[in-house]
This record gives sequence, C-alpha cells and structure tokens, in this order.
Amino acid sequence: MKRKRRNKTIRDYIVRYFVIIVWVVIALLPIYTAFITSLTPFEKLGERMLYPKYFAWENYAEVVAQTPMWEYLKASVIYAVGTSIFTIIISILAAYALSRFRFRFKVAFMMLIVAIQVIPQIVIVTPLYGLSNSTGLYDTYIVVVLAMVASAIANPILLLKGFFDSISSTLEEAAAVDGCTRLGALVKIILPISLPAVTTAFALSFFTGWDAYLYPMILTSSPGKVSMTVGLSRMKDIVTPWNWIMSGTIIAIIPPILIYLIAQKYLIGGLTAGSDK
Amino acid sequence: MNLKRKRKALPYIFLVPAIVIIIMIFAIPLFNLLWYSFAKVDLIGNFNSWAGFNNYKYLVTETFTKTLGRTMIWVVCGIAGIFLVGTILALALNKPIPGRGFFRTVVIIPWVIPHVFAGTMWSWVLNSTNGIVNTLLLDLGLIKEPISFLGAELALATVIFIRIWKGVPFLVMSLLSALQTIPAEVEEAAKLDGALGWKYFWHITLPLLRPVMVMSGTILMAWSFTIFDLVYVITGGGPLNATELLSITIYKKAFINGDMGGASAIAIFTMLFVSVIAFFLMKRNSKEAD
Repeated sequence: MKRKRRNKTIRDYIVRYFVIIVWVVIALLPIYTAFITSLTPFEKLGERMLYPKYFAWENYAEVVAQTPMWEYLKASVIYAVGTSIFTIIISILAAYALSRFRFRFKVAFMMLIVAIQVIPQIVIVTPLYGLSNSTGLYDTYIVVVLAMVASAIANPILLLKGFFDSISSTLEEAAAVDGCTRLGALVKIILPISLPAVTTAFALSFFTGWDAYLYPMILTSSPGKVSMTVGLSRMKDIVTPWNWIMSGTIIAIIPPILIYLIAQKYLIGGLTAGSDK
Repeated sequence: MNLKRKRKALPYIFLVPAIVIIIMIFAIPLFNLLWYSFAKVDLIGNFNSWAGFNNYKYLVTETFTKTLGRTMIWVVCGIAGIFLVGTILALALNKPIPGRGFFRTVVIIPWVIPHVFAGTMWSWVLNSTNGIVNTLLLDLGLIKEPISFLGAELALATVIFIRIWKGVPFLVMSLLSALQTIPAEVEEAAKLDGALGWKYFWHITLPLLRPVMVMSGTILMAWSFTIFDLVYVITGGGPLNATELLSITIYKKAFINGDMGGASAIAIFTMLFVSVIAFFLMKRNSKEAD
C-alpha cells in the first residue's frame, strides 16, 4: 500500500517536472539565443551554435558606439521611471480614498477603474496625437509619461486598495487624536506598512513604462525621445547586423528582469489582487 | 460645519489626480474619436467637414471582414493556447515540488519582456536562414528545407504562438494565487470520496477557478484584440496582409494613409466590440457567482 503510494508520487513528480521543464526551455529559448548571438562576431553568424563558442563582448561596445543606444536608454529610463513615480503617487491617493472613506460615487469610480483596463492604446493614440498637437505637448517626455500613466494606473489602484483594506484603521485614529492630518497619517503610518504593495505597484508601472512603444513612436519626433523599443525596432527594419540587434536587446531586457527578480516575492500575489473581487 | 464640509470633500481631493489623468488621456480623446469618426479631419485633428457615415463604409468591405476574421482567429487561438498551457503549468506548479520557487520565478519571465523585444528575439530565433530552430531541425534531419515561419502561410500561426508565449505567465500567476485559496479540507474530503485526478480537477478545481478564469480571460481577450507592438514589430502586418489585425489596420489608416476619420471609425467599432464581449462575459460570471 505504502509502496504503491510512493510510486504514484514519483510518477506525479515526473509528469510535473516534464511539463515545467518543457515550458522553461520554450520560455528561455529566445533570451538564450539572443545572448549567444550577442557574443558572436558578424562573420560567424551563420554557424550553428547551441552554446556560446565566441565571446565577442566588443559587440556591446560597438553597438553602443555606433548607434544612439545611450540616448535610447535615457529616454526609456525617463518614460519608465516617470510612469512609475506618477502612477505610484496617484494610485496611493486614489486607493486610500477608496479604502478609508465612504462617498457618493465610490462604486461608480471603482467600476470606472476596472473598465479603463480594457481601453487599448491603439484606439486612444489617434485622437491623442491631435490633442497633443493642439495643446503644444507634442514631442515632449511628459505627454508620453502621462499617456503611459493612464495605461498603468488601474492595477496599482486595485492592488493598493486591497492592501489598505487589510490594514486596521486604529493606528490612524490614534494619530488623528495626536493632531495628525489624514495625509500625514497616510504617509507616516500606512505607507511604511504597505511597502510590499507599493513595491509591486512600482514594478508593474515600470514594466508598463519600459514596454512603451506606440506612444513614443507617434507622440514624439525628436531623436532624443526615441526609446529603446522604438530605436531597436527601427534598427531591425534598416537591416542592422543581428548580433548588434541582439546585444541591444539584451541591454534592453536587463532592467525589467532585474526589477522583476528584486520584486518577485511580492509580485505573484500582488498582480491579481484586484481580480478576485 | 465648515470642518464637516471639508471632511466630505477629502476623498474627492484624493481622487483628483486620478480623475484628471482619466479625463485627459481617456475621456477627451474618446470623445474626439467619436466625432472624428463622423467627420473629415486632417492629421492633427482639425475639422474640415462632416462626413456622415462615410468613414464607416470601410467596415462593410471584404478587406475589413477578412481582417476582422483574422483578428478573431488570433484572439480565439491565442486565448485557447494560453488557457491550455497556462492551466497545465499552474497545476504542475501548485503543489510543493523540489525547486518550485526557482521554477516559479523562471516560468514568469516572458511576462516581463516588453512586446517589442520579445518580437525581435523571436524573429531571430525563427529566422529562415540562420535561426536556431531551423538549423536545429535541419541538423536533426527532421526537415529538408528551412521552414519559412514568417512566410505568408505560417506567419499568423507564428505570431499566435509568440502571443501564447507572452501571455501564459499572466494566467499562471492568476491561477496560482486562486489555487492557493482552495482550502485543504476540500481536497481531503474529495480524497475520502474517491474523487481524484481528472475527476477531481473537472468537478472541484475547475469550478473553483472559474471566476478567476473568466476575469483573466476577459482581460486577455481585450488585450489580444488590440495588441499592436508584438505583431507590428515581427511582420508589420505582412506578408500579403497575412497578419494584418484590427490594430494594424487602425495604425496604417491613421498614420500611413493619413485617414484619421476612417481610422477613428474602426477604432470606435473595435472599442464597442470589445466592450460588448467583455460586458457579457463578466455579467454571466457575476450571475453564476450569486
């Protein structure tokens, strides 16, 4: 009886490992290939390689020297960090209001937040292009950041609201007795406890900002505002050597992967906080 | 009295920044989009003349019906693939297994790779002359000639595959957190009743996962309908329109043909189409939850 059960566990493990490993291989295949290619000299690109044979780190130096990679990186950092900062501040305030107060349009506002998640960028970009031209915001960093904030904002609000709901309000009541304002209580008491949720919100909005493609492509025109996404896709279109494109791509995917690895213990639970309601 | 009024205004003050953003980026543009779709406007949205329903005429052409059909195939196959792979993976990762923490971390990685870079990397992996997949298959003798993954015949299937690659982790995360909420007693009870394996999954796990599945499915559906970057970077809609989806049609109409009115009409149609499907999916879900 016992042995039968043990066999069953082993069979169970084998099936599960098989499923997981097949996916891991598929998940990492493009990144692994990109990495090998980024280290291959141009003349050797036709060779078949399953593991890195050459270590042409100079590809990285060349792509940075020969293309405006630093400019692209700078613009991407501005978009991603700008998006995260605005998103965090706006969603903390909104989530606090939704969690701690009772007011008239609360349900309507919650529904609005859920609904804006499905408004696609491609639908908004046409009128936004006209609007940014008529308001003089065309070709500025801020218009891209604001547009990305709108795309990023729903999930952090729902997530932070859920987290604030789980914090008892007795601490704030004590603070209020001491003459602390609501905003003061939010900053001094609630935020320090909410670090996991704030970290998740930061990571999520950073990913959205780093992913920006359509908005920087349409809403800006000067070279300094070209992001990594737009810059690399143009490099691909003008037939740049694949080893350079792959070096650039590896540089481009390091920031989100690093942030993911740092924030990941909070992320998995956090992402879906809003959707089980 | 004054204090009381101030207190009443407080939540609204906290919501002001969020509301300003929503009005600026969603409300005003959507309003403009609506009147653009009934007008002749220039590239930057200056009004020329009213056009009645002329901009909407494109919606009944055969080219558009084909694009819509292609987009439906893309959405349905993409989501079916994501659910199939995502559910199996989530179940495999749910129970303790040595190395689970590590695998959970790695499994999610495609989700954090921006669409454009995912597109660039896969274009290279599947490249017909030097791509690793073709060279491997040739070396193993499984094929005689390289497969043209991005040629007219296979391009749509290929981008659907890449969409699945990018979308699976989101579902895995949703399902894993939902699976954690199933109480251990449920499984104990089921075991005593002899409901195990497939039967257990079908009659117990699946119904409990349903709300989360519908919610994630709705969001994935809305996103899939309008994904632009991934496909545009890989194929630009080609070859021979084989991968021209709704989003790419909107983009081309607006920014290549300069037909803002026409693009707006398609955008309005897309918005309504997605909203109606989302509404019915969610409504059914909340009804069944009661």
